[in-house]
Amino acid sequence: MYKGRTRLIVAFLLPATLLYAVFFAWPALQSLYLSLFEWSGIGEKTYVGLRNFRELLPILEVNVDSQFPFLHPSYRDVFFWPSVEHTLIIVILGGVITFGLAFVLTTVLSSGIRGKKFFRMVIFAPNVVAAIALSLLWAQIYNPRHGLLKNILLRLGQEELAKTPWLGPDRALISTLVAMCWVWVGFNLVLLLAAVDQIPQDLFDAAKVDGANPFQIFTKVTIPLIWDVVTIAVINFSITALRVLEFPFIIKGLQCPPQLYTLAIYNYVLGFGRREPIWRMGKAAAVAVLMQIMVIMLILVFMRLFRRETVEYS
Amino acid sequence: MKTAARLTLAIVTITALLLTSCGPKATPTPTPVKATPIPVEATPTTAPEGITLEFWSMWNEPEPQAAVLKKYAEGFEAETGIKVNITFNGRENQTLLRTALGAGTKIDLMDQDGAPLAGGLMKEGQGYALDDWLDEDAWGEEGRPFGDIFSPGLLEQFQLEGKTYLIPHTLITYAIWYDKRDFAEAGIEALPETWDEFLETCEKIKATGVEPIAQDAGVPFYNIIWFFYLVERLKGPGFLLAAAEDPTGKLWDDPAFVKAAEMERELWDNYVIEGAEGFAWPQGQATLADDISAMELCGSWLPNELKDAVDPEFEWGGLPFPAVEGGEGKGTDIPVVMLDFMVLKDSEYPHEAFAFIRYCLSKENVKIWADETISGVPRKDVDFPDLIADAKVMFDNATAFFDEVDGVVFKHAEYANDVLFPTHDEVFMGRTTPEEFVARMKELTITYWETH
Repeated sequence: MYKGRTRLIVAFLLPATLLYAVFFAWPALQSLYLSLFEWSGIGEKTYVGLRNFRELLPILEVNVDSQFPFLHPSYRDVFFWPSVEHTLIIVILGGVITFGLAFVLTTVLSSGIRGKKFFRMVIFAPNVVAAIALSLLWAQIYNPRHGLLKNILLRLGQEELAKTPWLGPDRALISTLVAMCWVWVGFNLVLLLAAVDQIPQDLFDAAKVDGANPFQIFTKVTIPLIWDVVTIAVINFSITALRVLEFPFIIKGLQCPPQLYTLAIYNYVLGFGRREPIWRMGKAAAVAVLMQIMVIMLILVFMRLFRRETVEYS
Repeated sequence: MKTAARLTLAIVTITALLLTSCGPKATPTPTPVKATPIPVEATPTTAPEGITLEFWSMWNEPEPQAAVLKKYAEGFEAETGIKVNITFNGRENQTLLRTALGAGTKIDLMDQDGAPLAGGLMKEGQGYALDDWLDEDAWGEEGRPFGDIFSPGLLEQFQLEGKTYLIPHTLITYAIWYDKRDFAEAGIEALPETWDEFLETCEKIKATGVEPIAQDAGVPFYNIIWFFYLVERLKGPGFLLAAAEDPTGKLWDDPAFVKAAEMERELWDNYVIEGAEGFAWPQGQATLADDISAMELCGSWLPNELKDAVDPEFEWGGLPFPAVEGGEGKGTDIPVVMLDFMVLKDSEYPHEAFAFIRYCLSKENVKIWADETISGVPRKDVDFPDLIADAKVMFDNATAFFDEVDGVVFKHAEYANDVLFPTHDEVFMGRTTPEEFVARMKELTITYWETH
């Protein structure tokens, strides 16, 4: 009986394991291998050891004269550390905005208001539209001549604010982040709302009877009971945010400017070029390897931070 | 348990063996290809039956260029019996092709922007040298060598080690495209020929309430046009390239670079449409169509791109980039941008692929290309369409040709992307001073060449 069960377990796990090995683990190992070479993607590869990593990571040659030694782009690679910075802003600030809004909306929608399903559908709707279409939509919203945002601000009497170039170099990242959060909120709202809907109503009733106010109910009852879902949602969001590419890549149109480079975009630009055929496949693979390390570290940190005792209820 | 373990081990071993066989193969170093001499014939080559050429194209299927290429393919097949199978990949054609070639896909012919192609697959040795066939007759023109049909200098522009791999099918230059009505309303009777006259023109247009210059400032390779033109006007062709290639960075100390940056900054601060840095392409050029702005420095594709957006009364004019008084470059020097065919090195039918190129570039077919795609063409005996007739005048009057960005994109794509374009955008949009810009360019040039 025990033997049979083990065979069954192996048989069920084997296809997924093989798929994972073939489509994820093996390419990851190949990336690591490729990162040790200089290669244009065609023709011969030239072994260069850790040179690609030395170009990306300035830690071996810190410029102590600079105010921001690790972010000052005077090293061998002008885009890598700004890309890391942009990516971390998207993950951290984007996470705060996304989950902040998702929690608020979850609280509102689970408070018994009418039209809960309708509002959920409307808020989730951007997730069913292609990222390209959404990017173009937001590019029009931000249009400094005719955009919707400009017109709203003018109607509110904010003429100076209306002149703001929202997709200019100083604000492009934050403006794009707002647009991305607008999409992400819906997905995470659905997850959190589904989890909250599973909590038996009598637990909330009992808390009210005990004199808990809405904030206490939210922090002492709701959050602990949906903690597992929150953990998964945060980890999923972080991975999505870490590898975001299409939205910032498309929003400015013909070419993605360096102010919007994320690690994934820089990886793409290195390996596939833009109009200019850069074609540094080895260096692109090095960026991919560093991204993998970042993802693993982030997951480990989150799993540590989010670890707590499982709360069960019947 | 043991059986399950053995089974698992067997499956993993087989999978590993399969994966090993699918691993990257070492590709032999490309060797220079010697084309087999083909006797010059008055009539097209008659090929063995059953040949299909695989042509990967940079156009998207809805574009007029795709429609014309399909016509060419049908006509070529009717005349020679050789089928041409065209795959329309869009502007990522070269990148897709690179991957396909690495996977062993058989492709005979491609087209792409000349500078990126020359700096990409051509430089990687993937092109087929065509010099031995350039003396074949132009299609339908007995006794006239094919190489003779082109405007002077075009075939030489992207030669590699003296060999010709690229054949242009579209010719583009950068000019200041403007609405003649705005100029008339501003009382501008003579077109400006010098930079000072150009600034006066901008001032007059501004006085009428129209923004003088449209700019899609979110596109780095649009912004750089101002800079490389000004450097060329100040120091002649080749100087920017020389500075880019100088590993000591000393050429960046030349005062011409600060001056060029100051000149374009004056433009940005006073005459470029407000909010330009916030535009997402093509919002900037749309202001030209909406009569909010009067002119834009852009490639000669611009009138075609906007032809459906402008009102029927719009009158296109093309203004040559003005000369700078005291500069070494002339106001009649122009950058040449070409879209080119390239036969692939490993093509099974390179001569047939070349025959298709000759067919596409017959006089009759080039006229069709010019008229139906509103494009400039490389044949010296075929006019440009009326919409961009001013560009033809610039080509005919040209005193020198130089490559876009003075050849930096062609020769040093990574430098252009990593160093020149982003650093230039900072000064162009007023985020650094011209002096800081030049200091930064010098620093980054030195750093770049330490690792390349």
